[in-house]
Amino acid sequence: MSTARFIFDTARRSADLYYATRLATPDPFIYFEINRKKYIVIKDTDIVQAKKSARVHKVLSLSHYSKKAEKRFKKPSQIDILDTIFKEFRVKKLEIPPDSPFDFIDQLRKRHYKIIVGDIPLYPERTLKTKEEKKFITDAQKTVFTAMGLAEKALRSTTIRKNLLYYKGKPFKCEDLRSIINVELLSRGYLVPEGTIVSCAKNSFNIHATDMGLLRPHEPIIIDIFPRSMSSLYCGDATRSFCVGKAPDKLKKMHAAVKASQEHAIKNIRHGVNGKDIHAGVHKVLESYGYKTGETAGLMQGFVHSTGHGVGIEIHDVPIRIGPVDEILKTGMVVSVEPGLYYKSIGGVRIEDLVYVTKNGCEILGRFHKRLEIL
Amino acid sequence: MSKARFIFDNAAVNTDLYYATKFVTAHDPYAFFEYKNKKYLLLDMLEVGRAKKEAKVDKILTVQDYREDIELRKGNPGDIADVLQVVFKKYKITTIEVPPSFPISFAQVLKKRGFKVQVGSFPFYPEKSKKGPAEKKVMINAQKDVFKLFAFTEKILKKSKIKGNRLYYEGKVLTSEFVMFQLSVEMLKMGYNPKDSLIVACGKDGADPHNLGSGPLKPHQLIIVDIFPRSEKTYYCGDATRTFCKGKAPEKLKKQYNAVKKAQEYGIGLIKAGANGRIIHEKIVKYFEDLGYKTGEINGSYQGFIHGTGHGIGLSVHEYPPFIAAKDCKLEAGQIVSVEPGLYYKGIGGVRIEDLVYITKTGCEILAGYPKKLEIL
Repeated sequence: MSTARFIFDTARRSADLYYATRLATPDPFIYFEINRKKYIVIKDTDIVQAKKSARVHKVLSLSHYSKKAEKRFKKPSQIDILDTIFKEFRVKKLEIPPDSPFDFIDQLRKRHYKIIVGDIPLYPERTLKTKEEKKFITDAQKTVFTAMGLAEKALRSTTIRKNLLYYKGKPFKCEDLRSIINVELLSRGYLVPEGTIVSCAKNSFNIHATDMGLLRPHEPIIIDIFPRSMSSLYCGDATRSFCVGKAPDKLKKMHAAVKASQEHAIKNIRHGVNGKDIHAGVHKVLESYGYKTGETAGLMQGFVHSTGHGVGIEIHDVPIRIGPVDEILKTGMVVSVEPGLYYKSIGGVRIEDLVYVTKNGCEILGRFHKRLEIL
Repeated sequence: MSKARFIFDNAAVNTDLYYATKFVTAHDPYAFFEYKNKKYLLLDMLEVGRAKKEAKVDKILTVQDYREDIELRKGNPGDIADVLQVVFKKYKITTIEVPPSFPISFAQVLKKRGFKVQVGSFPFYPEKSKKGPAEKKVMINAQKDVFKLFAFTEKILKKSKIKGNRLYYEGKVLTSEFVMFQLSVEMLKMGYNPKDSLIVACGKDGADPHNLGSGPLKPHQLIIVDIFPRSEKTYYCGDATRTFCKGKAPEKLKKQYNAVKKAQEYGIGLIKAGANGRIIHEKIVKYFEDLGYKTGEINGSYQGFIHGTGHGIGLSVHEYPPFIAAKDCKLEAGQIVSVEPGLYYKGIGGVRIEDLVYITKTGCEILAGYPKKLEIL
């Protein structure tokens, strides 16, 4: 009796499926792996593409199996077709991703398949990036910084009138700047599945601000760019904080603290280190600057999120995280380092880079300055 | 038995969840349950402020409120399952109904903690198919934006010059990729997500409804343009298709175009509450056959009217039910469906014309509107 790793999904949704096959057709296909041999069962219209780009042992035709299933079942359902395939390959035990649909898996169980719910990622080696993957992420990160540069240039070309910024004669809105960034990403072959964040002043207090509004001088502006390549499917992710015109001292101090805490974290990241200690170190630096984290006036304020997360095919490459839980970092991981401070009365500051963990330290992917003021 | 309906997902992706709460958190999934006709959210403290303003629910619970008790008991703040266990116990919930797509691992965790897990219907909220006045308005606006993109496309085709069997726009060979890129940029500016929302397919490509199109656009050939973006503000979708021909169209193309145009108008005339989608679809197939356009295998490939007549649409481009296709489906007032017959022949190319309609008791209303003209000279 053999166990097969089994995924039925689209490669754009399932990072494990894309990792295993390197095939990114928009429609779902069947994938299984037995004794280290990988198989794809796919509809006829996608077969040519699959044979060309899928890194698998064999590409099989779905219509072949649905015809075969018709001999046993009147109008074969998806489950009937799968049953036909697995019978041919003598598979009785399936290892599946934990986010597989409950209903679908239940139906397989009813056909007496033994189900083993695997982990995220189904391929744990996916967290350790190969040279090729590192290049994909570096390329994505360079694109992020090109767009960041363009955003900075746009902010620099504004004029301050009272408490507003004017761009090409009109009040400059967060969504205008966001659109400048997104168009640049698009023209370079990158999409923004979950949107670029551009937030200003008190709105920047909300770390998830998709909030729109006007850009203002002498206030914090957070720009967080995290696109995904349409060709490699790998992601980049970086954040910078700006202030157009002179920054108030309070903001300057906050920015200096965040920058110091980020650099402190990057200095300490290397193979074998515990992410929990890195995260605690960030808190310590911020506290040394006098910034406390906790509940004030019913709101969590200060450094309210984790220090970082894994990045790869997914923008949050689960499960890697640099936060309050144990996570031993290993050579080959790519993680974000993104401390931030958020206070209701001032707004937010966040600085983020991606690093590639090595034996003795880490490499920063791509380069972009961390100056706050745009004068 | 006290049963609650439960979803744990990202509302930007899970349309049932968004339908139920009208609340989206940027990246993270959140917990929602409906119990004794009341809706509850269980959120991280960070999201509570905004949820109070935006979410259409009865009660908002904060994860952190339960963590302390769990920490006292377990020695650590616990995970979301620990929190849910406490919350469900408090409300005396014993059975949990989840959507069919609910993650198997989460279902197992809930089972292990003594809850009964049942699979609910698909869609989880069937009433989602019937649009209220606000939803209808939002979708009319999306459709108007889609038609702005058609006007934009036509302008590019109009400005293009024919040289040999190529089109030139601003001195460069006009391609599917160029038009799609320009449309994507416009979409972004208008607040739509351009991901997987475009087909610009010419000639042979257009003969295959799954082909998104690539390479040079050619004169005197059929160009199918299908635009179906989702708004990043409202999360609702628009969807329309027009078929163009740059330069004079050969008679064969004109004839095929007019057949589809008339079939679409005929289909729209058949739609009303109570009608069966299957019968409407069969009537259109018959209509094409009477005009001499057959559907079936020709030279080893499936040609003719090779897809359904229409699909439901709302928070996702394809929202089933309703559908107007080979399966029985009773149409209901308030539903919005696409009407998009097409004809596809290998030697000629493809024609598809698509509009969205809002179904009423006595007929249907077309959402927004745009001319149906083949030739762009």
